[in-house]
Amino acid sequence: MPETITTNKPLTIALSKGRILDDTLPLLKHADLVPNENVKTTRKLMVDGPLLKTKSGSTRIRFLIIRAADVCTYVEQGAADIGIVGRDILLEHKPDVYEPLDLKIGVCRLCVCGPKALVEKGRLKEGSRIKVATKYDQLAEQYFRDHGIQAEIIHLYGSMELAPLVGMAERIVDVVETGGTLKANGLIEETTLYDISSRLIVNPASFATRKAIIQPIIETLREAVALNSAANTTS
Amino acid sequence: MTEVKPVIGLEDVFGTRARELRRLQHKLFETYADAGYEEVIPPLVERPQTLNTGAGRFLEDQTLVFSDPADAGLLAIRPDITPQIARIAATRMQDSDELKLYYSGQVMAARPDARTGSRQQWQTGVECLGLSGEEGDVEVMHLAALSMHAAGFNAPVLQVGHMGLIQAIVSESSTAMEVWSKLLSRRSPEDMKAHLQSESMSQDHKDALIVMVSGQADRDWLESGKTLLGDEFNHAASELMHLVDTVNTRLSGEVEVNIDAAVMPRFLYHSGIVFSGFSAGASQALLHGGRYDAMMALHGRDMPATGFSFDLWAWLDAV
Repeated sequence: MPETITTNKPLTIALSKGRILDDTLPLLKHADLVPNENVKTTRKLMVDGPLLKTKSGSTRIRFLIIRAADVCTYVEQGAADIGIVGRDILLEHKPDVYEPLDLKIGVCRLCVCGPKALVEKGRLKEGSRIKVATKYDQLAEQYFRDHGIQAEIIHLYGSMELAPLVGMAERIVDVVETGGTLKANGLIEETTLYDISSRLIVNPASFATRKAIIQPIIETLREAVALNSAANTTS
Repeated sequence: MTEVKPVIGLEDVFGTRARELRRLQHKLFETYADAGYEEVIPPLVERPQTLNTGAGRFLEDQTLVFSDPADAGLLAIRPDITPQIARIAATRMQDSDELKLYYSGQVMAARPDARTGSRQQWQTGVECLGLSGEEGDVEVMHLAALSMHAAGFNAPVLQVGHMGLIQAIVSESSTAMEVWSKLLSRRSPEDMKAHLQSESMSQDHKDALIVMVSGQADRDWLESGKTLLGDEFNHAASELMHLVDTVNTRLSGEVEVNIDAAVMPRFLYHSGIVFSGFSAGASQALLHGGRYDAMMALHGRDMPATGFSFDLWAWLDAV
């Protein structure tokens, strides 16, 4: 009885929109998980994929194309079985999901940054009080609290680099990839909090009840990641 | 008229939902009564130390405490019923050597759940006290599986682990069990590897932890790992395999019972077997249970104890 129910239900994979998607698709291709439409241009939010053959029958793959911050929510709530999302979002939101694989794509760092002149004055002293612009409220709060600094967190949705320029904040906490935007706005890195890359996440109940389908996908993607990093080191 | 705002994280239940809840509750009560269990109805509030004894820090953080005008002391709203059962077994029921109890009542956490926003659960469960190790474990796991079947779980899976396995592997590490439990719950091989860089245990032990977070710590792995990880590990592994086999022979396939050594308890008061129940389509584990002898000892009555519990509301939403 369980077989027919589980195989009829599609396996849903939530993908993050944006730059990560370019690096994600080749990995998925290696695992024969290719969306039926071009997910970079389609305006559909849900796209069908291939029919995956398993021991107990076949399962339709279905892709959701959503904002990175929402991938966690879809997977934690069980609306998607699997997702691909940046570690920055996992650290900030701490969802109840499994994180079985680092995909080594979307590599960047989560940093504390500030105006060059301010940062070069030296580290903030314990007990000092600053304003911090970020979209990572929890991580920023925790970092400054751990260092005895009273930080007023100003939540922004993007372009943190602007906040110090207009005097709204003395520091920002944000992901840095090349540092180009920082430099263009007169900011420099002060500290790296975490190394970030994208991870495969899995809903715990999906993993328990659909392990026969999900575990092979994880293992094939693990191979793809290994091939990818081997190619990157030789090139 | 002034508007009365509802309390954060609490809801009222009525109509179909209330009827469905009672129907499911009744069905489960029948299952427990048929298995020889009796109902126990503890009060909503306890002294904070009763709820905290042997229950670890997590439960303490989740307990709402207030002062009692009648008693000039502190009282707490229960976030979990198991410590109450431990108290009752150690005091009012101390004349019975063997206790088979079930309960069903509301519990309240101090903070809303991050995923659901709820602070309340209709905790329903079973505690089996005084029955020797294997007998009690098998009976409780079997009853957990029957409950999942009775409730109509979709493709139900009961994953069983054993705290003795992780305890054996990390016995020489000074890292707190809470940290290991978090790492195992996240199932990230990369995070485990990063953490293990600062641990001085043998490579075999480190490899075992990586296998556990990779979701591959199943029966085959337990059998193959026998020579490498020490007597304590082997003992827990044999016990776990034997228990799961025994439960599987008692069931006729209604519920898949399998081994996953990385299963961790919700609250860290467990010592022997520990298990979680899943239903396809529900977002998280819907049942948690295991052995908690140490908590009984701390309540002043050293006796074997195994049990499980779940939130009736979450079950109602799942099936």
